[in-house]
Amino acid sequence: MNLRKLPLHTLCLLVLAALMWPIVYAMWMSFTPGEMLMPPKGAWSLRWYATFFARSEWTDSLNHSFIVGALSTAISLVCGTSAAVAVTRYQFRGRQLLQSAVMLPLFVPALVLALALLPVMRMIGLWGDFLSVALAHSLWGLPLVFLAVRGALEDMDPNLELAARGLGANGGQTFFSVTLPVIMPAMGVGGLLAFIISFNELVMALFLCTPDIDTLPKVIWPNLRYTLSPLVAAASGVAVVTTVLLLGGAWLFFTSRRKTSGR
Amino acid sequence: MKKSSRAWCWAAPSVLLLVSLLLWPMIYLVRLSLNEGGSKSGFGIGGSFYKPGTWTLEVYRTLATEHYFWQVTWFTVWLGFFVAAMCVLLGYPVAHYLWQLPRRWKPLALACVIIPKLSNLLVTIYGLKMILGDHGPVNETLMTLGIIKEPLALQHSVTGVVIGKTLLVLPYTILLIWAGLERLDRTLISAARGLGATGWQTFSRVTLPLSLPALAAGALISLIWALGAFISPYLLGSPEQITLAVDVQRQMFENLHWPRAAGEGVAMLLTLALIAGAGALLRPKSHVLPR
Amino acid sequence: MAAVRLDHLSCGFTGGTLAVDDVSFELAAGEFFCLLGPSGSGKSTLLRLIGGYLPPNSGRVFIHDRDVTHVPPEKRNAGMVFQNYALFPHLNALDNVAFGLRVKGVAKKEREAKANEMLDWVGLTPDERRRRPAQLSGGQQQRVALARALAFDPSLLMLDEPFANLDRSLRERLREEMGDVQRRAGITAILVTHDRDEALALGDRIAVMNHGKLLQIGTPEQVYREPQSTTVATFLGHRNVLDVAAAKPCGLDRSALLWPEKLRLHRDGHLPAVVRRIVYAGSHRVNTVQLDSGLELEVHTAHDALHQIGERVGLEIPPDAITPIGL
Repeated sequence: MNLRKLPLHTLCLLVLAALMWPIVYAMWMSFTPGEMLMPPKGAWSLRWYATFFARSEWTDSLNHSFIVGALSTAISLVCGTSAAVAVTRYQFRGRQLLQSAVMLPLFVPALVLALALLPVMRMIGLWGDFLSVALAHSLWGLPLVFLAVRGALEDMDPNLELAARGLGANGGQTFFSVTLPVIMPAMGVGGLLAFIISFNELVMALFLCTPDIDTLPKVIWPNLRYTLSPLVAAASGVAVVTTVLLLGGAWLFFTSRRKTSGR
Repeated sequence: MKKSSRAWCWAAPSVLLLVSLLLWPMIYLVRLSLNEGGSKSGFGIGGSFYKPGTWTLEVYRTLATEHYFWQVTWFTVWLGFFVAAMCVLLGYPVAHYLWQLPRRWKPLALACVIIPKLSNLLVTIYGLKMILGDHGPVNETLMTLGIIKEPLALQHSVTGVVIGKTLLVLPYTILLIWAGLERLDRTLISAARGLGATGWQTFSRVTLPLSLPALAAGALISLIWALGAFISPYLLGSPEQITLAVDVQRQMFENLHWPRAAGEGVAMLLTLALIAGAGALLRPKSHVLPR
Repeated sequence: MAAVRLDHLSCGFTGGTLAVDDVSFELAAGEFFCLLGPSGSGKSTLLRLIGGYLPPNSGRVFIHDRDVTHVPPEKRNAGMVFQNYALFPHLNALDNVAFGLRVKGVAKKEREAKANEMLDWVGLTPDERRRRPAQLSGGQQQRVALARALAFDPSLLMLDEPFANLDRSLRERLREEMGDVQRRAGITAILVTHDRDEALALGDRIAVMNHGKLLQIGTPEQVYREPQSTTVATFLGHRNVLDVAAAKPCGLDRSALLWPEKLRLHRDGHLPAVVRRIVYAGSHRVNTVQLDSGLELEVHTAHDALHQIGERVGLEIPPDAITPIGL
């Protein structure tokens, strides 16, 4: 390696390490056997994870996070995929506007979205329902699914759909037996991102959750302000492990797929 | 005719979602900021956070003349620009490093960027709180080495907020700039080297100008995200240094003055729109040919 | 009964010029018809109009005397092989071939039997049938595309440059096989190509197109021996194509085609010329001679007639070397 570039490389590695360090450190803490927030000395222990899964406030919040994540993913997939089909397959007035509008929520701070959604959710009577948080999270899931699926649709050979029509498939059959299978991997990626974002989202949950539907981040939140017990480290550990498992699973799935399809 | 109506059928779900969850709430936010504030007692009884049906500019009059609000706004904007600058300064070298990394190491390095971005932000903050604490590894190490005698106030201070916010935004900056670099044609770099340019000349004459649009986009997005800072000032800052976002949350849930919270939200949006507009006007031209 | 009839068909994109400009012709059942033209001549657009993949601006399309002008492609019963084959990437070769039967609602067993039969025809091994398109070679993909287009018993087979993405030797072999398959199936076929050798080898009849217009239609021999315009003559690879202005110094009063093997060179002849290039071509030599008017002509000579580059010669144009263009 070039010696003159060494300081630069060191800086980059330090930044990458700094990005990962807090997470790794929190995970490490979660294995402490003691009551204090100290790194485990000698033996590691799973006692705080046992505590986590023994307390209903925590397990309930984990369940709620999965429910909200699943609902939000479903909404994002339907809306994002259909919007991507609209802008790639048709020319219509408002097409550009729709493309920009779909991306817009990514550029609005979570807090402003949450602030604006709370009164509206109360008004339409969804406040306190899983659907309110899921819908709010779909504002971010929608652009992610949209981007992934639009890319897949643009890369897709337009002749595939024509070929299906020529072989006797009507519009619906063509969509379900050709278009949908071809864009399915992209939908998988977009949906996965939507789920992970929703699973870890705090600010909108903070505004919209009532105690009955508190998600995992919402339950971690007050503990961070007042008590830094190892239990919170275990809760963080559960969140990180879920995220990493989902990402790793998706990565393995796609690399193995690429090998079998020979591309 | 038939075709465009079919297009709108496809667009309908997302349009419905955006109108009901983005457009309408935003309009309603503005309307809410024009209401009179409600009584401060009676939490939980609907309508007591504001007086429906009233029209007043009271909130904006208060905000315009209030020293506290301007202090908070000024701190928010300062923090936003400072964090964005940090993100660009740190993010560009890292993105460039990622781009040049051999294929074998790329997934690992990218995972280091993507996992914090996708993981729970609270975990990052939680880890930081422990690391930056008075008895955390940073202070302990510095004290053991004899560099400092008293622990540094890394938490509950501006330093903590800046470190925390930078770490939260940095993955976005890195990914955006890296994506821009990946779109560059690598043969251009080989061509420049083949024409006798040194490594530095190649970077400053070819790579940097070509990646300028991505750099600008990364800076703008970092700024927008940094301006919405809520979690890190809340958990790592001191009570004196709060951002607009933190104050909005306080007005909403502690002061129970919804119109004021809405007014501050509108102020945030206007600041963002102003910055995004200026950014769009100053955007450097893209040299990358459309593919 | 005409298998296909086009009636003053026109189609244009934005910009004013028509991609297909007032085209009419008829195809007999069982005929192998070639649409020949340079790229951008509108031949692929014309094929898409026949298949129903594009709506025409005006004119009518008939398939087996049924007016299908406004019928969607799935109801035209016409099989198409696309230039890039357009095989479904998520289905294996067998499922690709069975697709047309599947959407018709044919039972799994029956459609797989039919698909296997088609794949037998085009010669794909059982192992290859279980592979996805990405795992097949270009030639195998082309065979699958052909089998797929024939499997659902279409009344018409359309081929859009099906050999363009293959290397030369494979292209020539598949071309012969394609002809055999079409004759065995007894199906009417339309092939779009820019390769004149392909059109001449395969077509029962050839239609030459340029700038959206149909220039000439006829058997390969007619089109080759008696081109009706200088454009057609040039496109079919003739070298000595003279327009009116170029024909005058040769003593001709209209545009004409001169056959290089029938022209003769003498020490002193009727038309003074200079030999510019000599190329050895196996059975003969190709001499390029330049007339005083500046016109260059190709003349084939036997090996015993040795001319030198730069030599002044006399060119003789016998009457049987001249084919007038545009009768």
